[in-house]
Amino acid sequence: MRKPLLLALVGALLLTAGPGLSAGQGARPKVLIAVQMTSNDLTVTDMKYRVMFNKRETKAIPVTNFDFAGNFGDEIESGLVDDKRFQWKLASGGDRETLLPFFGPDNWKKSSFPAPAVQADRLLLVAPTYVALISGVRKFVEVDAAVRMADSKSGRILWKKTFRDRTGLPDTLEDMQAENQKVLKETLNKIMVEKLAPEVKAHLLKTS
Amino acid sequence: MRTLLFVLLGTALAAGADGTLRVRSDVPGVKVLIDDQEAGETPATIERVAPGKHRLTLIKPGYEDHTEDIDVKDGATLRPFVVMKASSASLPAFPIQYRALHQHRSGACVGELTLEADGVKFRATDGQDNFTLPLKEIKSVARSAGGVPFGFGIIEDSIIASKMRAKILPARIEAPGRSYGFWATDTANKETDPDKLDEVARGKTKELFETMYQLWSSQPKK
Repeated sequence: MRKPLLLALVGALLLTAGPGLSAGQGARPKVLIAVQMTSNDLTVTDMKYRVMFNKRETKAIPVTNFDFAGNFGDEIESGLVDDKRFQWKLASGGDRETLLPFFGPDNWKKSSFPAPAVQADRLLLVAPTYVALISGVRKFVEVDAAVRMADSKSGRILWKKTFRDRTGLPDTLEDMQAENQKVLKETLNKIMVEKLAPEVKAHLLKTS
Repeated sequence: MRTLLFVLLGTALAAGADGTLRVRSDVPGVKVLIDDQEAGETPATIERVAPGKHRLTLIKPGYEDHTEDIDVKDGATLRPFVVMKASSASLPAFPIQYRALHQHRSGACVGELTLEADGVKFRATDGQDNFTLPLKEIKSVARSAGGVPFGFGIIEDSIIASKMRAKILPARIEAPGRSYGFWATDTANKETDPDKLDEVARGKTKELFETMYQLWSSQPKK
């Protein structure tokens, strides 16, 4: 009886030992993840229908004090810890500062970046934006995430894709902004956690 | 065979024993406490949390403490997201005055815009355009050039608005039945000619908008 119990304990210990014992971790190519908002504004297209003519108004509403980029990056990184092909790491400190210029309008649309001075094999760059539409028939808020995977040594863009996910407004846009934009931030976070991050992760696991 | 069964049972028990917490907040670097024990800062991933009820507390200077009870299940991941409430001390001292341009359908007038704790007041220099907007009546504060008609090709715009659209978006307030656009300038600026809008201080308009928005969005839900 004692021997099987001992074996059971050994099995439990092996399982809970964590990633330290997983083979070949140091050999996996490293991907540095950087997420950066190009604008913190929610761009709202507000359509009003009138008798003689219709009106379209484009409003910029700041989403203040919201580290969406940090939360999104953490969600992507933590969802890929079990990926056996790559070691995914969220850029921080000096590495993050080095990658920030790639999100600027001069660099973002190019087919290659200047090779950055970072310790990584690949770069995953994610640029989310917030949009909303309010009209008589449709009301939604959406988060778009433009994603680029680049080779760190050459700066060449390996692939790019834009993910878009939306949800209906849970309340009026006015009430969503009350109490420090509580419901607006909860809605944007919900889109990210339940839809956008899983889609991005699934695509990353499918591609190389 | 029995040996193998015991090993599998042991690993299965170990796998399902604890839960995981992924704690997020709108502002970064918020201190996380589980049952009054420090557990990290947001965004925080806390593994091996014993199943059952716990007290989650989030603390950051300048914000009110947030406390909630959570229920961690075996082998499951809980993802609380907290919008921290700024303490009232973070609002600026009111009233705040700006020298402002009030956008009209055609042209603009100059006057004094005063932000108060309960609303917005505008007094035109020539006395022709004065109004008060109580905070509880404001439906929206945003940056926008205003509604652009489409459908019948009518351009409801002025040379001034089209110039400003290219340079500085006004701070726009919507109230029932009407909307108001403002640009701010330096209180010492003597320029009153609305045609010389390229001299309007971009920074003052941004400051006006941000202060107005902070005042309006800190209100409780209606």
